[in-house]
Amino acid sequence: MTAQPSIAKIGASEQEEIRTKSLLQKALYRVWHDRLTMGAIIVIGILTLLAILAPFITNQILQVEYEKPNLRNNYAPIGEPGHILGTDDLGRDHLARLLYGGQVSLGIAFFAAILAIIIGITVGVISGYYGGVIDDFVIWFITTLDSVPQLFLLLIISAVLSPGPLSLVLILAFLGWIGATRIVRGETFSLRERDFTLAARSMGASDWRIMFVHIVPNVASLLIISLTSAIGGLILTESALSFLGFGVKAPTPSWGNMLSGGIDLLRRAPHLIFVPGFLISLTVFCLYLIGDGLRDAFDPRISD
Amino acid sequence: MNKFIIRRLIQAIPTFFGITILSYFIIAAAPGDPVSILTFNPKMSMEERQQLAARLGVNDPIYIQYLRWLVGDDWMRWDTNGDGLADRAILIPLDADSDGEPDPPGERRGILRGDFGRSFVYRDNPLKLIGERLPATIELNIATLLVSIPLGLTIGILAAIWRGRSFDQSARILAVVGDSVPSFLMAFGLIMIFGAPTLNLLPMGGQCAPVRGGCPPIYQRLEYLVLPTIALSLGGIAGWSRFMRAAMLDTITSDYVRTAKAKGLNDRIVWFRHSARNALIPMATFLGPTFVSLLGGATIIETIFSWPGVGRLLTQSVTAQDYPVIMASVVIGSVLTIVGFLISDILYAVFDPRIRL
Amino acid sequence: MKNFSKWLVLGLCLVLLGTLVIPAFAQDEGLGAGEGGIIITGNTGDDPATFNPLLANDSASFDIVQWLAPAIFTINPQTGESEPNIAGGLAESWSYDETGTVLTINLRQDLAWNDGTPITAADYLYSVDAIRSGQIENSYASAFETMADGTPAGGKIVSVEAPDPYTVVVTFSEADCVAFESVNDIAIVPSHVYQELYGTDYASMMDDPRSIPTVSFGPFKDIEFAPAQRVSLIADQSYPDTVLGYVSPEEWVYLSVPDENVETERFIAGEISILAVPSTRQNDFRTDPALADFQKYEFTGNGFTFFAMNTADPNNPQPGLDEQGNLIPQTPHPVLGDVLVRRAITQAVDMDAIIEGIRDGNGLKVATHTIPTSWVYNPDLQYKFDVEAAKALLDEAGWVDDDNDPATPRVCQNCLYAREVDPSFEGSPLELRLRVPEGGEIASQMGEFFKASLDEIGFSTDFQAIDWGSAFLPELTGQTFDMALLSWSLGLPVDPDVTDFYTPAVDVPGAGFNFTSFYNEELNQILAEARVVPGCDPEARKELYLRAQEILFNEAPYYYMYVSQSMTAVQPNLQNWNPTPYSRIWDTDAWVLLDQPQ
Repeated sequence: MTAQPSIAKIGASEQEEIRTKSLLQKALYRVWHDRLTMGAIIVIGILTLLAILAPFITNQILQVEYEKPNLRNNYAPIGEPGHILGTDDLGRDHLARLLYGGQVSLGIAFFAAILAIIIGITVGVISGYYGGVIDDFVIWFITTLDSVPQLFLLLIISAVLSPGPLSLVLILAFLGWIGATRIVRGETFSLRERDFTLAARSMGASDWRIMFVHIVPNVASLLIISLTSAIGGLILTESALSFLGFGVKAPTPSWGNMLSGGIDLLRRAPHLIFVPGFLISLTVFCLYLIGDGLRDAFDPRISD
Repeated sequence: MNKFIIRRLIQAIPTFFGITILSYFIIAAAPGDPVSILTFNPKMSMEERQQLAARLGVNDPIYIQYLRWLVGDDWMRWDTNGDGLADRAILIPLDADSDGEPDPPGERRGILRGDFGRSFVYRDNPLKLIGERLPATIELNIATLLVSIPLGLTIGILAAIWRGRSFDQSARILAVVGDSVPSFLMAFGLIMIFGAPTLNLLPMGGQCAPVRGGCPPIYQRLEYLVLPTIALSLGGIAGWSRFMRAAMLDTITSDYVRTAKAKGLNDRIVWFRHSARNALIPMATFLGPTFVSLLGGATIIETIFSWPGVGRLLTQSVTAQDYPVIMASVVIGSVLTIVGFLISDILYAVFDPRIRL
Repeated sequence: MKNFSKWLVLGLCLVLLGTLVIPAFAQDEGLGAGEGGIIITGNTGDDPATFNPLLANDSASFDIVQWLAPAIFTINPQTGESEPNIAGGLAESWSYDETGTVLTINLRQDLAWNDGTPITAADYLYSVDAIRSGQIENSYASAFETMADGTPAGGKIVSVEAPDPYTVVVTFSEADCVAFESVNDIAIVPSHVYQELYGTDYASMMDDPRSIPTVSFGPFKDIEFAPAQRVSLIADQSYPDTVLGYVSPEEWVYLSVPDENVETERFIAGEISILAVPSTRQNDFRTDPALADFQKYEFTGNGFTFFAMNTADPNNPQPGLDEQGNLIPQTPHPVLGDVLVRRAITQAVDMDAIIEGIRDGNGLKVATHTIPTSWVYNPDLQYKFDVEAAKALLDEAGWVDDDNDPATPRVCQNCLYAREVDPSFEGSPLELRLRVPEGGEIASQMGEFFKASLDEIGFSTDFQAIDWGSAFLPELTGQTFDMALLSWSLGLPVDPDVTDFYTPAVDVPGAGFNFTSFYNEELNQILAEARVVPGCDPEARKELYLRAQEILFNEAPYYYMYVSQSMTAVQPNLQNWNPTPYSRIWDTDAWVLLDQPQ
């Protein structure tokens, strides 16, 4: 007898899950047919692939040693035999450095964004679910972090700790998780009183299971969208830091420090500015497009 | 309403302390020290360095330095018999520079009493240094808001009205392109294109022409404001246009608009009276964060355009590890931020009576 | 009628000729007081911290205060020697007594501050007292602050007195040829004004470091300061030492610019009058026809770049002397403690490639710490770029390539450290850390090139560009580094005495400039001797300094790299500019900017 109301409630939650699934499928369908967004995804995919394969490409295809300076052949222009994109101020192959730089820049942005979202999800859902003192503390901490202009804090930390790429990831993640937390926390508040949550709880599901198996997937779409713009923002932040003299330091290449190093070479070797600058802009631009496309794709109100 | 404001102000206090603690302890992790930087010079003797270090208090434990900054040290080392030398000390040593003589009594009163100390580099009151430059930063930020918000909103509204058409596509792409280019590259490009090397239409930097007598009123030097504002607005235009478009599209599909349309009201009236106005509510919440991000984002633009604002001061202070100025900038920046958030909260409550709790 | 028109035409021709000829004369003369235009120069650094000569500590402040007061000694811009009666100098003549320890300086009696008060010895003594009081922070006058107390790091000046308003008598602790210059480290200030403002409460000067001076002496006065934008001074026609009889420019402006690239662009656009051309643009100015109209002056400055090798153990930095002045033996650096290794490094790097490739040829290779135009330069010293010889030296030092694999570093087989300090060090790899300060593109590039060169001969180099203030400087002065690259820029003329750089007294972790903990007994003796050569005979001193350079070359605590070739450029329409290696702005009161743009 007592099982009956539960069965009815399980039915309701299953239906909800069915609706969610078809939303995801619908979204994928839409994205697949959105040329602009697909184009952007392909571009990002290619750039990521090239970056990952940097060692292979450099050694097998280009056959250059990207780290070794060759001062007799510096500032070579594009099209120089043996160096498709020319050489930099120390005579190193520009294309090879861009590939390795892509590893650093894309890697930092990607991992920092993911780390930030993971932290954000965790803190947000815990804070929203339990409420009370935990929530108060989290709110205080968030407001504090938010009230300091980001770049100020970033400058200070970078100057003080002189980070390498790895610690830069940690620092950027530390400053970036707030946005995700807010979203997740808000959603958690509303979702924790919903039927499927109560059902799961009455089934004996633990708090953790409820939080991460039931609540989090419902905010997934929002998070994916914010993930793409977070990655884009972090790429720009990395180049801004390099320009100011912090960020990734020599000799490790990154698109950011290659660009800022090339600024004074406008007349002598413009390709050292334009190519990294173009790559950064292209990447950020495509990420924006993907974010927009995803937002449209997940929007339940748009009719196909 | 007043209760609401007061409550928010009270809530801001723990935030303020959180900010100061956060910033101070980050600086505490600094491996270098300002004394070496200030005194990199073959002719300075060891005694002088020690005196300087003692005077700046850099050798004290970090919580002592934080306390000194917050509430001063005139209660930490004081003079009881009026001979100019300190006799008693708590928490800090009587003879910090180890020269065999008690040090002078503490003179700092702490920021809560208005004393922000003295810049290590400029030896001047940090508030004065910041105050000299803050008006320029605010000027630039206001100009940027005045450009980016109307332009962004207009583009967003038009993109929503002509949704799916070429204007929508191209406006969205253009807005985003401007925001994808690293800011310093964009700024440098603007200078080289519009400045003397190529088109020679606009000045290459500064707030006004370098003549004596100070800068003329703003309406006489608008050409200096153009390029920095453009550079700084691009991000805002992209953001506001996308936001407005999304907000408009949200309300388009809502019931009451459909009802209004079904009633046969003129399309244009429907759009502007209902959609646009309702989009204003969430917009109020973005004003605060927008102002905050402008404060930070202006740093690079100010540096490249030699715009005499707070941003460049901060970068230089960070490089020189000029703690008093860094801390003062953080405090002032945070106060402005809190005020910005407060204003946007108030606006939100004004627009939407349901929010007044 | 015909005759009349003939005379008329002739008269017109004469007038025409006159208008051509007379301005030509006028050009060399000037257009009149204050008609010479506004001279604008760029400032790529921070704002000046102070306008008080007693507090000046950074280059931006020094740039400003140089206009505000005379110095006791000034150098002749043509010869580089301190001479009496040079424009801007207070000393009319000076002489030593027979012991060489008492210097009597006679001041000019015709100079006055621009409020009419005469400049007297009191203006110098006020500064001496202010600095001796210890209440103000001025790092350049340690000659006075540490009185001659027998310690090696102490100052040399015992007392300063003024028997009458136009005579200053300085007593030194010993007859020292170098201490003469330190007399000039004290600024001259209008003591009548300072007495009123501060009295003897010198510390109160620091309450308002940027107070605008109301009284000054110089071609320019009346500072107007717009923070982060510009500092401007106007002509002071009461200045008596002018070339033309009046001060020609109307105004002198320091304009804040973000960096030297934008500064160069603005100079090319005509917005800046005089520019120190960055090394990356010097070739453009020489060869680009669009830049041919600018006037250029090239000279060998006193800025040099060098590579420091820490000879002592970085894990345990020790001062050179203990409190009693006795020598503390330094544990040698495991790798760099061996002079053979240091010499190998000096032969492993292709300096020509660096100068050509990174500096665009704008550098002069050197093998000593002085510049080729110095009177003590030793031309017989040259490093030899020879990779095989470098490898041979490493072999001899006991660093062997045991596996014939170029990718792995050499290992210690009976190297110096294993022999003399710690036998368990045997077999350790040849690993070193190289650090350069971040922010200078050139330093990073050179660091990378050094790394590649050293790795070629069997090192394993860990190269990093690190932040100047928070990381590089502490490592350098704290003596915890292995190898470091840095550049220096001092003014001319060159001071051959390098006691402040290579003696144990200044080997103080955290403070002194002997970062490499270098100690050589003979060098110490030579340097001490050269300071007290009887009569300061230049020939005798030069002999000693030549030998000093030889010692430093052989012992190689530094790999001296190159001296910068400097270039200063001015606008084509700037007249009466007569630059010398010692100063490009010594005759600014005569400058004329014709046909100012805009």
